Amino acid sequence: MTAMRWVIVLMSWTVWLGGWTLLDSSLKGWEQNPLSVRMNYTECTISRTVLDRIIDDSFALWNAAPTAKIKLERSSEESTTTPDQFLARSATDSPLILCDASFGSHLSTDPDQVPAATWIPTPVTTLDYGAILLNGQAGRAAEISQLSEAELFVVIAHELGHLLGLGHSQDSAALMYYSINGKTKAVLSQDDLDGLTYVYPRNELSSGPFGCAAVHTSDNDSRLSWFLPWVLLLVAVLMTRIKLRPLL
Amino acid sequence: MSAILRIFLAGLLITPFAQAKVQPRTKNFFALDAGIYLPSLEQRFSAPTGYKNSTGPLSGFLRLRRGFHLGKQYFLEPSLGVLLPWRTSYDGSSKTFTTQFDLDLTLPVFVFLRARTGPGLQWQLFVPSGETVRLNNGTDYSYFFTPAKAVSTWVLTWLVGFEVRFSSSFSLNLDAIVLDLASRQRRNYEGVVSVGVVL
Repeated sequence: MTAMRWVIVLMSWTVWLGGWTLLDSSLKGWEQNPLSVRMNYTECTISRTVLDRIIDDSFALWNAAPTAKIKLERSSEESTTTPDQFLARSATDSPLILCDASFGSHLSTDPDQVPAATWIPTPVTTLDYGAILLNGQAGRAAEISQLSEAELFVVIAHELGHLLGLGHSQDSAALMYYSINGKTKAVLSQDDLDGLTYVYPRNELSSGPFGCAAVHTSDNDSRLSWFLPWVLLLVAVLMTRIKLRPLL
Repeated sequence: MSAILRIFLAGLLITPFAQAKVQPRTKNFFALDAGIYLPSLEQRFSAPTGYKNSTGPLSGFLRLRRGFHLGKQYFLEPSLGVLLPWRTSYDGSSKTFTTQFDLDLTLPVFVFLRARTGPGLQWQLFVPSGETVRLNNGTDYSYFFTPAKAVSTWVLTWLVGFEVRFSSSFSLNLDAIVLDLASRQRRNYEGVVSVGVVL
């Protein structure tokens, strides 16, 4: 009876609520892994050193997710693609991070309120074209030099989530919540992790020590469909049937 | 002081009193563990300094263990655990089920204290319901999506834990599950505090 009470108390402990979304209903994410992101600093209004540091930290944040397989890295080659060329869909070196001196007019948004935006053409299935545009419109309230480094870190990490295919979250603690108000540090919530893991699921049974890591498998359900019943059967047999002979 | 730390300390304080009642374990057994699953253990017990994940939500954890006697007081313990309740989104549009398989070797430290370690596999199944959600976009509202297709992720783990035995039937289990042990960047520690009952 005591054990049963424990079980009842512990099982009724918590029901967690999240709410991750994607940019499209059938989105599959980028095929390249690691995903190399190119920079164009031409229209940037903050120092390149500071921007590089914040971007590397943002990459490290998403790269720390243990259940997702995607790895982000900053390309050593700079991009020469301008925001105009990118928005005309003529860029050949996507994904990109660009500073945009005409941010408001290019994106039809208020440059006094929006410090950055991610542009990905939709509808989309497999991501193959996208960029983060940073507000480089001098003198405007949301231009990136007006933000603290901590705020810019949260903004860029949030936009990277979009670049990876995630939409906004309904969870106010999530990095992918629409507002950064009150966030002084970028951290991934369980909701962000769940969204990222859904788009880039890690399957260590088909990579690393159990298979060929060179083969990209964004869809592992077919493998799972036959594998899982066998695992469960094996566990069940081990637990009920086998009597091991003492070895020691 | 966090509730988890209190449980841990209480377990340590009770341990010497439990010692006299415990007999060495020498037969195969089934055990049911019920407790709490703590994601991101490292972040939970220290102020976050790096850019790792924030502490996740506490969940209930239910685990069935089978102990195979290998001789003396050594056991092979395969186990199957599930997180209960599963994670659910605000509007019910996505659910995440987590299952933990482990194959541990357990050995006695003292009669009342057993150590266990071994490899494991964590399976997470994401079951979204394929809905369109209208959410604030900062300056306006936009439509976002939860997909319709279920997706799984399989991650190798390593478990290190202790079982504090209060009697032949009851024990307190303290386990750390390490995800992605080999990667400094992705390595993550999860914890389980549970009460075990030998069936």
